[in-house]
Amino acid sequence: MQQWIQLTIDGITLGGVYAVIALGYTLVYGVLRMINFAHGELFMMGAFGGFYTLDAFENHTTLNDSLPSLTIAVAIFAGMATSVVLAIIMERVAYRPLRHAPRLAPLISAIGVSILLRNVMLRVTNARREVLPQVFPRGAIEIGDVNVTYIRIFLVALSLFFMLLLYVFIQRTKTGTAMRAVAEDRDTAALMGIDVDRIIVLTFVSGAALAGAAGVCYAMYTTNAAAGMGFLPGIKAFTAAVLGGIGSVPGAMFGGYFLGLSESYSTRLIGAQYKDVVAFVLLVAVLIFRPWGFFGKREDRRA
Amino acid sequence: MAHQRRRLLRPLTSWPYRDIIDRARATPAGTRAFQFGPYVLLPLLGAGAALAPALLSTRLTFLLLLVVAYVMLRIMDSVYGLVVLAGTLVLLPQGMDGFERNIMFNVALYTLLGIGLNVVVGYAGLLDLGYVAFFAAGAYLYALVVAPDAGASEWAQQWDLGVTFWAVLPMALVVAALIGVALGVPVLRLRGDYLAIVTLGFGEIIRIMARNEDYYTSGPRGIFLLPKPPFFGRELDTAYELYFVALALAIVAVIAAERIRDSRVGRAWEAIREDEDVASSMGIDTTVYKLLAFAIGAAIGGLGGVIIAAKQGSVFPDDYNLDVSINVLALVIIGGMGNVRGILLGALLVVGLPDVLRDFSINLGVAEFQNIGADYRLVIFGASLVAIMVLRPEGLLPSRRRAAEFQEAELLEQELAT
Repeated sequence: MQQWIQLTIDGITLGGVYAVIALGYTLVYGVLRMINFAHGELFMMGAFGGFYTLDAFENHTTLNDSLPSLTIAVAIFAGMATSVVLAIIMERVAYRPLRHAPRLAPLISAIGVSILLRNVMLRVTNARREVLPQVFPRGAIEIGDVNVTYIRIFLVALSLFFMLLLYVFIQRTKTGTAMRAVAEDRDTAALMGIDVDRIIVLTFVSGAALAGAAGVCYAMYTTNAAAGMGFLPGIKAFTAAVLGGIGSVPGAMFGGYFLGLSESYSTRLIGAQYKDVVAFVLLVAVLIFRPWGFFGKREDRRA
Repeated sequence: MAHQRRRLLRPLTSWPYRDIIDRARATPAGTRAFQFGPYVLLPLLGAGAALAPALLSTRLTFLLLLVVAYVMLRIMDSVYGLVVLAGTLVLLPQGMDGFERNIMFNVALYTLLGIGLNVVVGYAGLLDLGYVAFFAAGAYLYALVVAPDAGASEWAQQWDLGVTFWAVLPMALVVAALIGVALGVPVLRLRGDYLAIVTLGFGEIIRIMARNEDYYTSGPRGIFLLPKPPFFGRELDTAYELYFVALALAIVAVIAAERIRDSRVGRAWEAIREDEDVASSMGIDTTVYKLLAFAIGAAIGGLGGVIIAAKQGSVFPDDYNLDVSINVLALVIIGGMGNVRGILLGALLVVGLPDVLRDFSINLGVAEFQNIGADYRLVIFGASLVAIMVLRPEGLLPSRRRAAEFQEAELLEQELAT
């Protein structure tokens, strides 16, 4: 029993990370109908933004000891800023010129951006795995017989906070409404006076901010950052987005947690060596019966 | 606008397209510049290509090949261009060193893979991101069938079929095609991006299974000591000789692919690609034709796998990762989707260039950039993928029909904008 509780906690932690990254995929897909293959790299770049900030603060022991929350907050903002700036450049240089191109051209362009970013970071880090300075307070609270470390609680809380924030932003603000309108029908939205270009940039920015924050938190959780760290979480988050029904915000959240939990339970049920397969098997199984995902709109035609 | 778009997607046999196609035929891209060119330039370029290895000692020979290939491919309608290109591909590697010949082998191999993937993505319009699965299937088939006991997996030690490379090739065709159908069945209902992610998943599943099913595949230790292809009493054991094997198979695959494209099957694929619902209401059995595309694409990928296994003499699960699928897809799209001619060019750029860049260096007076080629080749590669797509989103050598469609779409876009 204790083991299952532990696995559930693992799954929720991981699921939160997947869900936050998946939101970025789903937002961009909803608006542009395009898989942003470089989204996993935004997550990675965010982690490095956080890492270099923490690294710079490392010698300020007084600051780190008295106000660790400030350092952590600054690191997370730095990570978000890194990803956001990159996303803006990426959209302008690699995606905007291809908006009316054949469907596969932006995909290859995105793959190009992803290869570029990963290799720049490989070069910058000399292919090393950077270890993050320990600023997050160690320790855990006990729930029954199970230890839950602070960082996990923080991760879960933060991912829930970000999802709520995004949900409110999309559902309740004027900009969010505009975003939904562009996702629904770009041309009509433009006729209604919505600046489509601005909304598309904003979509990339919100996705990137989430990915950056997730990157920093994930790096603090695993205590290291590496150029290749975006690949697997990126692929799995995308799987989560598709599971939930790509284009749907609640779908991405649900997909993330669903995937995180299944992966975590499967390490016990099937064996850890197959945990990366579980995501894909689930995906195939779900899509055979519900090709539009759990929460996706039942849309039979996709051009 | 949506209505206009829909019109654009109508089958190409309907009347407005006659006009576009005729117009495109009248002025094929590139020919204008070579009105008199072929008769003067081709012999010159051919002679240059043949002599280059003797004259140039550097990797420039490869770049030269790239230029020759580009020029030839643009005007390949003439038999002349084909002959010179074939001559270049045969003669140029003679003057190359082992490193360059290795690159040429990879280019030929990826051309073969590209032709296979192009059947699925370019002809039938099914976005497959897990093409590596079939490549791995071919490689593992070869490894399981021919490996001597010392290098084989526990499972494969139970038999000794005594077959050689040449016998495994047709076996790989069949086995990979069957796997293609098996993976194709569950995804028949999926479209577009859903298909992409599921096929990507299949690629990863095959790799992870190969890594973990120790009894069958020896897991991460791999299967090794694989024999080379025998050839009239000797063995083809250099990259140079295997280059010709890959090249020959690629040429056969090109001919087969072009003939299928121009057949009833090819037209059915085209209809499915343009609009699946319309195609099926016109009486095309989309299930059969989609599975056929998967099977043919997979079979060609399986052939590629056999060749790589024979060349390496070993198979390791992690060699068959997502990067292979992405490289093959990138070369198909960069070359110009749907066009087998573009694939060779794509392979030269995507597979050849990053390796050639290893030796490239310029002195900028900054120590960091001393070995810019070796250190930044993948950075440069990523940036060029973006640049090529932004500058030529239809690919470098799109098939004429695609180019025409693309042009028309742009015109329509402009008209609507004004």
